[in-house]
Amino acid sequence: MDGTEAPHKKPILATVSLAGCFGCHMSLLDADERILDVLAAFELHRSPLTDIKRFAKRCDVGLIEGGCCNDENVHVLREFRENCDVLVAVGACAINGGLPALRNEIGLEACLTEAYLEMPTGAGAEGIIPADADIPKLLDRVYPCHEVVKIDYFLPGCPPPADAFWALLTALAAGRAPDLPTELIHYD
Amino acid sequence: MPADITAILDRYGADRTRLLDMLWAVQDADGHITQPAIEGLAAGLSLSRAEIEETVSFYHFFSMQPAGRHRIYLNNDVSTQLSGRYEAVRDAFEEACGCTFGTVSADGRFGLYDTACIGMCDREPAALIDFVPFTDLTPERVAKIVASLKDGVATKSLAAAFDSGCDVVTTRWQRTGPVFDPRTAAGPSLEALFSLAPGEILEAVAASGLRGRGGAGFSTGLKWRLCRETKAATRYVVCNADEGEPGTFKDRALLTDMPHLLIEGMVAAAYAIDASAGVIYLRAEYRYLFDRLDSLIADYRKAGWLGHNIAGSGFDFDLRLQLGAGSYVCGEESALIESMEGKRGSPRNRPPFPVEAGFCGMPTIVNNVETLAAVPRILKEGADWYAGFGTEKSPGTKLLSVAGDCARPGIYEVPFGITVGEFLDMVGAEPALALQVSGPSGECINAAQSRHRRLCHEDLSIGGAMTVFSAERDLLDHMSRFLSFFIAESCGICTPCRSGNVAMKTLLERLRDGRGEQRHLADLERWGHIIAETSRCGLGASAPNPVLSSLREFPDLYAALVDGREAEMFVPGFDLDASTGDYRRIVERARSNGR
Repeated sequence: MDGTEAPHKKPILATVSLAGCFGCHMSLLDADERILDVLAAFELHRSPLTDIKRFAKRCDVGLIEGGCCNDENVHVLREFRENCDVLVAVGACAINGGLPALRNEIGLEACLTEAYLEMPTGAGAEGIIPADADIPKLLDRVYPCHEVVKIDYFLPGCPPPADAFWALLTALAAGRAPDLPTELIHYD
Repeated sequence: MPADITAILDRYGADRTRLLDMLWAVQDADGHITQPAIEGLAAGLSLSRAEIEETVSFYHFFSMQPAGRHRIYLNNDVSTQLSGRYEAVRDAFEEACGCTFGTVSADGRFGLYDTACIGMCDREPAALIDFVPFTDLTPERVAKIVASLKDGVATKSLAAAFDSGCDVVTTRWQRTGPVFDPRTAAGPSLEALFSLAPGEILEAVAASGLRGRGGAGFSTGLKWRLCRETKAATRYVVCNADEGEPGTFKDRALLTDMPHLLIEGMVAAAYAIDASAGVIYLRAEYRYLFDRLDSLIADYRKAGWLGHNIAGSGFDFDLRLQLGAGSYVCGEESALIESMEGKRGSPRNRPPFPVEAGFCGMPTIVNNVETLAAVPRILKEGADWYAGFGTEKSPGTKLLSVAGDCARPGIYEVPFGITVGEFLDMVGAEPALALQVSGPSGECINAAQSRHRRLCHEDLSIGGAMTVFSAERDLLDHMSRFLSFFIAESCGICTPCRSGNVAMKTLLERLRDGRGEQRHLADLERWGHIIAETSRCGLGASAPNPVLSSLREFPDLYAALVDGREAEMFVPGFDLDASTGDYRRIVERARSNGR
């Protein structure tokens, strides 16, 4: 902020999906007409919803969907940490690794062998493990976000319901620490 | 040839409490415990198959699958890690036997297994081969031993040929004391015992101030009196020779060199509390001592010191050995009693205490080998003589099993109250980084800062194990291994112990990997207190001790794990290069294989 802007400038929001399925983003959009209130309360910056791919300004809030399964995820997550005041891990994958982390019990080599070398559907085909310099390198296992950078808040759910996003974002927009009632983040 | 189940049932009177003996008989005959044997035992004992199987599966040395004609159990506890030859010896076994640890060789000849402390800590690396101990192993000796086994040489004769030519492991007595000295220990001296009244024995033991030598330090005189005062049809004397605390081998020394003191101590205890039967519960790792002890018991019986109307006193008492089957928690007295009853060694809820309701519901005293062996010495030399050693609240002397980074490992008898500094000088451990007092269930102390501390119940309780770590050691690696030990040995009944130790291990490993955060140090300590305070038995209560005490004694070692990130609570360590290393290696290997 350079001081020439209005004092009550809208907080700026960034979102990203790392090793996730975009289900959390879909759930955010599931807020029905309240999505307009979200847009009224926040300026949406870097996000798949705006297709802005680089940070051009500092953001107040970053929502992270998905954990880290490759080095690109790690770079992006670190960029978010550097550019956002408050970082929220959103959904099971960001918080625990989630579905992608199932491979942690199998081992990377066994996964790659099964997928690319000895794949049951590719009998007779010449297998190759993708390893181009332009594609991200897989990590030894899938990491939840808080094992890579400091995370300020966690919004559980697979996905978290729109109401939970709503409660989180209204609290952050008002400058309050989010304090979600159990009913909103209780799933069994 | 399949085990003759009918004969086995007959041999033990189809008595359910002898299930462990029957399972040993089956395994000795068949190599493992077969399904038909389980069915036969279940039918003969009116138990379900599940009741037999739950017992079999509890014990480390019982197997329901073929486990190799020669079973090799290599010790992996802390003292062998400190020997510097562990990895090489382990590799040598794998190469010679043609299979990896945890598997059986293709021809079914060898089974290789890891096991925790076999009580040979001053002679590591050591392994049990067909339950015969082989100590001071080197890769060359391993190759020779396995080659001889392949040639059909009997395991026992091999051990005699490789060790000092006798059928037991020689004890390294570094320092004998007034109470235990193998050179001066006299033979049977039971005449004097029966000239006393039982009450006089109770008084003498109480006056000597003798406390339990297994580590807990409960007053022996009080334990015996409580048992005596419980009205019952019969009472039992049990000797806890399940010396499982890693790093401890002092009971092995007594069982090898002065077993008559133990037997006489048990006769004295039985006479004092009016017990009709006694059992020495011998850990399976010391099975090689079984026949020796059994024949000594037979000698006493022949001489009239065991059996009916002993020495014309009208007192009946007999004694037998019970072989365990591999379980650390059975060193806990109520778990030991469960095991003696032929069940899983799960600790009981207390109260009632064994002195009220122990073996088969009868009042029972369970005493450590060293405690019982001290009794004849006290009766002979007098309670005042004994109480003259040691300190006010810890009278007498203590046997210490010393291993690790010191010049003179072995057995020491010391009076209670010697300082850590005196101890370190005595065993030749300078400069030492740390001292693990009383094994993994005890405390890890900073050697340099603790020289003034005293080894006695008033300060540092001692159970018997003293393991020295020099400054070159990665101490936290050993703390992590101690957690692995407790994870393996937890009976699994209560959640704090079953899951809490895993949680602590995960936290410690994350910190040691450089992925930890400042809060993990606090979490580690919190978990430790939760486990210690809420576990069901002593195993869980003491499992966090190594980590909790080393956190206190070596804060810098732990702080270094989150070096540079101390100020911020939730900043993790993450090494991108290291975490993409696997992928790079896999791709390179695939490429070099032409893919």
